Amino acid sequence: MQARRVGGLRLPTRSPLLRIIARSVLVAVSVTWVSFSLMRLTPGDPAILLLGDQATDELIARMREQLGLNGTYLEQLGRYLSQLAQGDMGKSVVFGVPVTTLIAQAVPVTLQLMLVSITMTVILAVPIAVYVSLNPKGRGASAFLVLASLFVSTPAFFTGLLALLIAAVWLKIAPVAGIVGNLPEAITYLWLPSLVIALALVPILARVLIASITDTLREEFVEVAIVRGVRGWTFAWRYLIRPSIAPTLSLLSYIVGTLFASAVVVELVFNLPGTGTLLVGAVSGRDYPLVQGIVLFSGVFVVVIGAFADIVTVRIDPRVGR
Amino acid sequence: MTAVASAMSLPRSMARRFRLLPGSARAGVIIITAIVALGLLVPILSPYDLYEQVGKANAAPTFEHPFGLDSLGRDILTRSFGAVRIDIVVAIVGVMIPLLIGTVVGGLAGTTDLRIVRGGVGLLVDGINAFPFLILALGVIAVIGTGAQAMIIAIAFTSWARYAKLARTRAAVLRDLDFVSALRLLGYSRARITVRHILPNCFSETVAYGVSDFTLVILTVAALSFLGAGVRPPEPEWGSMMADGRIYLQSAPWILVGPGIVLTITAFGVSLIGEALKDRSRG
Amino acid sequence: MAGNLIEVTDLHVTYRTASTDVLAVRGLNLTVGAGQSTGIVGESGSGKSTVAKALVGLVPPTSGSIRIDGDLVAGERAKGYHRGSRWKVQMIFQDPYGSLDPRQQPLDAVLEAIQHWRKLSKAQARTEALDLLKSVGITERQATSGLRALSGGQRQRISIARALAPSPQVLVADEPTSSLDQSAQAAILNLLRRIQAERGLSVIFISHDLGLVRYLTEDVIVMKDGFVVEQGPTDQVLHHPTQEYTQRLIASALA
Ligand SMILES: Nc1ncnc2c1ncn2[C@@H]1O[C@H](COP(=O)(O)OP(=O)(O)OP(=O)(O)O)[C@@H](O)[C@H]1O
Ligand SMILES: [Mg+2]
Repeated sequence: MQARRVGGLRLPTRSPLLRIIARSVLVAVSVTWVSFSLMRLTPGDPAILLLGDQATDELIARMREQLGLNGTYLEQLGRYLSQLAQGDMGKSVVFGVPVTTLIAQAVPVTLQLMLVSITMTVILAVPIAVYVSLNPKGRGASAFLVLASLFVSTPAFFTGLLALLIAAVWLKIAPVAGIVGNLPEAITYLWLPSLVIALALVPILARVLIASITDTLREEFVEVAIVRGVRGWTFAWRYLIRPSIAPTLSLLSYIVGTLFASAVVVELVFNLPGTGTLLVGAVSGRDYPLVQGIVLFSGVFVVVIGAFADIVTVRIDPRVGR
Repeated sequence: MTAVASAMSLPRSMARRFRLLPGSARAGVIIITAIVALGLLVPILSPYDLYEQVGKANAAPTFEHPFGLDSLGRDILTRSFGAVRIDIVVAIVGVMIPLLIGTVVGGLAGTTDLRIVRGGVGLLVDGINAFPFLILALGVIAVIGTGAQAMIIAIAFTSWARYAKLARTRAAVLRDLDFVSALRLLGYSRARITVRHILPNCFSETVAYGVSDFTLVILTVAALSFLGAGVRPPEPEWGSMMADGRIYLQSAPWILVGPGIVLTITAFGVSLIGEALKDRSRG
Repeated sequence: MAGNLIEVTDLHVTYRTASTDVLAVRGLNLTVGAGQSTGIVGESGSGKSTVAKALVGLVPPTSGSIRIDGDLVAGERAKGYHRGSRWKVQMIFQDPYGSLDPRQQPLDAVLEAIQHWRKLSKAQARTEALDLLKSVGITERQATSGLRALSGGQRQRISIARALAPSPQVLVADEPTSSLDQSAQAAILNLLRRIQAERGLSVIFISHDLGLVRYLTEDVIVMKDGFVVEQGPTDQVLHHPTQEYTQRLIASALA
């Protein structure tokens, strides 16, 4: 369904797979253009902003060149795209090294944080959703509704700092901050920040799961199955979990976007050297090329995840793509 | 109806609407009313100044200072409620501007026959919506600078596309309905039909979404300030007060707890209302 | 034949879609005098709505011409409807739920149409709008409340009032009752007949039910796959159908 149109354009192909890919490529182009335009939003000259108005003309000209701001708009765009095509996102103004190098160092931390968070989210959300949909009138269900609203309204940096205070400072069951090594050892450092992110995501995922399970339970064939004595895991898989996969996948790019954004504050709170920490530093240091690179990376990442989710959805249920 | 009579009926119709709301939304309205009232009253009634030192830095909560004192010895309770004004104003403006821009742009794009405009706006909208909200907003702030105004611009730049997407879909459905044909037969111009009939219908959709978006915007405003990219000190603002608390997390955790709780309660109240309105516009 | 209100000659309408061309109307001739009414019947997809849309100017004909009151509104070298002719032809649609702006009060919808066509003071226009709504059976209270509470039949009455606001000469009604229940259907038909008589209005009444058509019209056109298969005085077509297709339509209307 979503794959058929990009904006108002109808894609001239019937293959759902090709359509998803074509759409994602077009959106990625749009994402790239937005990131490119970002630096041109300034009312003033970024080079002067960086160097101060005492700087010599020569210095300013050199900085403009480094930022890719010399030449006409089209020349700048063309240069930006051709450098991107060669995997070149420019050089960080602050660190003096290629932006891609900095991002490549930071991404593994963020990805591992996201991976643990999403795993925790699923582990927590599925049982909650199953319980609430099987007992929709019970106390658990109304408690869920209130708690869900509450957790969605609690900023991740507040939960994060409280978690740090309780678990790391008072109970000493988690390291105060930072990370050493990679998964699986790094789990000692990642479980607390991931839990913080998961707390905000569980309500979102659980709500979708509850809606889809409730819908499925209303269907007649489920009653028939119960009467026929289908029970246990077969029942759970066939009637609770499998029908919920498609609606969950359609939410995946939204979840990943939210995850990426919460990672920014949570990384800062827990001192994790990921893309979020890198971005916050780049923003306060006015490191334009680095900011631009991270922004672009986050957008393209979400588009790719979205395309992946669409493809899996079509594979599971070919009707969706039509 | 005279002006007096209609002015008299206003509170009455509001009371009626309030009673018709579901329980959770009523709780939300009460919470928000209380927060706004406290936000207006506390800075006036409090014996302590918003900006002046009134005691020892980082002093723990006492009877005189229930939320404690911050690193500059200011009363945290007074400042936590003093922050209501700036946070809520920035959030309201931060919802209204993109709502307005997004609905008009999306509504027009959904109505036009120009394929290129429809496709171009659609692509731009999908592109902007792909970015994680906070990250694109940070990117804009990196370029235009910090402060309340910059934050509103950054939020608007990022948010309008979500409203535009909703409005565009709605407008595309509306333009095929028979009433649009009926209005054309009455000789109304395209401009009139779009402005007086299609856009208002788009607005009823986006406004309902705007209320639930309010929670996200309040949290984003605080998050940006927490990251040092929003409202600048010494202005009382929840996020920047909590950034201060982060530094003294071990020695003076109360610095962040006070503003954190007021912020969470506010966002919670708004989300209760937003959920109810979203459910209603759905069903 | 001067003095005919509607003159349609050899009307063809083709829809071009990405995959195929749909020949929705393939040659239709029609003359209607002032105050006379014509029915169009046919099975689903036979092209009735397309004729209606072509008549009011919502769909351009591929060939053929349409004259309203002597004005060439569609066809070669036609300029289409303009301010001098636009008010003369109005239409009622099938779906009462899609025919009204969901956000507009009924009174405002009619008021807007009246003020668009006549310079009246606000109070005067309001009185006229309320009178018009009353004449179709809508009370002031219904007219000043939201649409949500109104039934399909009530909505259809409001659509009729709005269409009557510019005092048209022709009212095209495309299955105006097919989504209403029996009693609402009868009430709307009676309303149309009364308006027709009171205002000397020509009604082009479209239906797949020949029985309803007889109630309102003197002449009838029977359509199938875009072709006109039978045309003539309603009573004659009804009592002495020459085509088997028409007989089937009559039979299904009686059933
Ligand atoms: N906008 C359009 N684009 C392409 N084809 C169309 C369009 N509108 C109608 N058609 C086709 O034209 C033919 C005639 O349609 P029309 O709506 O005039 O039939 P109808 O007699 O009014 O049918 P019904 O009784 O179902 O309303 C049908 O085959 C229909 O599928
Ligand atoms: Mg039809």
